[in-house]
Amino acid sequence: MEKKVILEASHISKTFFSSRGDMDAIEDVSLNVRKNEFLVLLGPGQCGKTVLLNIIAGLVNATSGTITLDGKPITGTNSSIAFVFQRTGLYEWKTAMENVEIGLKYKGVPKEERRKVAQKYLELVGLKGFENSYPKALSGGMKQRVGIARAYAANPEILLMDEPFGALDAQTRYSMQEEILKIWSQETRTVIFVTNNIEEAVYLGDRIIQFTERPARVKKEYDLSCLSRPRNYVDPEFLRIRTEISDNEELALE
Amino acid sequence: MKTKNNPLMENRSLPYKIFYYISPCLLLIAFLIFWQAVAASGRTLLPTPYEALERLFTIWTGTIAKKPMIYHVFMSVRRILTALLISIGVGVPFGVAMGWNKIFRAIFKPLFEVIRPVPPIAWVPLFTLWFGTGEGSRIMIIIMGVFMPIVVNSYTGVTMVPEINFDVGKVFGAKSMDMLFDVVLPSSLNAIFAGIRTAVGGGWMVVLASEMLAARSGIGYLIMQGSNANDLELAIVGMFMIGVLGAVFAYGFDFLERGLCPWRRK
Repeated sequence: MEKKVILEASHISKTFFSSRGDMDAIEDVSLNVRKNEFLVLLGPGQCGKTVLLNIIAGLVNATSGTITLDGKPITGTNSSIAFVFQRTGLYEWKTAMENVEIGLKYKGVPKEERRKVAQKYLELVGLKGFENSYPKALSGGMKQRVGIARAYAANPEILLMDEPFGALDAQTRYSMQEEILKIWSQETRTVIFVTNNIEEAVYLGDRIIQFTERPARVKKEYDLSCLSRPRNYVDPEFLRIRTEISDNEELALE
Repeated sequence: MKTKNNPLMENRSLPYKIFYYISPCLLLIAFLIFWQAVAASGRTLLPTPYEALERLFTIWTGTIAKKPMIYHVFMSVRRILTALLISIGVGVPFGVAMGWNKIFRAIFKPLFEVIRPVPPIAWVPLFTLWFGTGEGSRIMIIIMGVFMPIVVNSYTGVTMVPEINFDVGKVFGAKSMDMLFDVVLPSSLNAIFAGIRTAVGGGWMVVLASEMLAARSGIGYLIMQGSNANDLELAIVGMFMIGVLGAVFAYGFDFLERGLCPWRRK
């Protein structure tokens, strides 16, 4: 596996200032993301991992610290980084096809060309035949497939996924986990995947970075390259790692 | 059977279904009987429902103030539509600009908030002075009535666009104009239409008032004429026409909204 570092976060801290007092969300987090790896950021609910993802995406400014992409520091949003939102964030006034197209549309790619790309990714996520459906007519799992296709179609180097399956029911969640790995193996990109679900993290990740409770600090890193894919939820080694991580996890009182 | 498509009617007993469909008719009949009783008692000048209905048909063949009925209806509709089109054309961009641009909002909102509570009719003396008693003056008064809800709703619609819609736009590289026309406007279309609907309702009120005050045409003039000439049937016919036109307008805007917002169709 390629070991080249594509994205580096160094000494990121984030404090939210408000009249009711300051709140530290992230405290001195540094991490490297390697090209084409599936990196999982795991932590208890509300711990600040989503804030970290928003900082990498350029939607939120860090209080201190820097993000470098391919060795160059970045600020604000970047065309090499796409985002899959937990609440999908599909535009309800656009069809599935038009939603997938937006990244290319805003870049000024001609309609015919972007239609072709969008079609390819809609088919990749298994939504052939739903091109002209509006989000309202799609199920939760299908909406998130559109969200994934939209992120891919923007042709980024890095895909950020913020608990993308968090709002789905358990069964859909399992099938989406399988689906995302299938898509990723066909169109390999660097993925940074945020979740609070340990099983999901072990099933998906090449590497897991575990965070503490708020303020988020890096607690431990797990290399899962020893687990072959496709993984099995009841494989002894899978269960061993899962237990190890869960023993390290602080129980969040939500 | 019709009840098959009505979710309210599923798993309902037959007496309930009969009651559901019969009771509105019964209420209407009761209303007509009450009307008939009051009119027949002879203590009021109220025409009977039958007389009113008869007048409704004969009125179309005669003239009022030397003009046929259709002319009066047309004049009212023309006034309200002119005022609406001008208000939509100016008010929607104005409201959107107030919601979209902080500087624009800071400059115009205070003035707007001061003018907003003034009832449209209160402008009559000023407008009469400036524009005379002609058609322009009347349309200006109606504009004062319909402009405000259109601006307020467009403005609110824009400020209520969910934050995630902006985040999605930013992540996928939307420039300022993409954000305005591709994200903010479609997100707030619903609120803008709600504003136009409110405006139409309020608009009829102002049309009537302006026609009652000083006009030789329009439905408001008919009602006033009915009052002055002790011709209550004419006034009732006028009221009925407003009801019908109001319903036509409401359906027209629903139709327009469905055409413009295909994503909201079932």
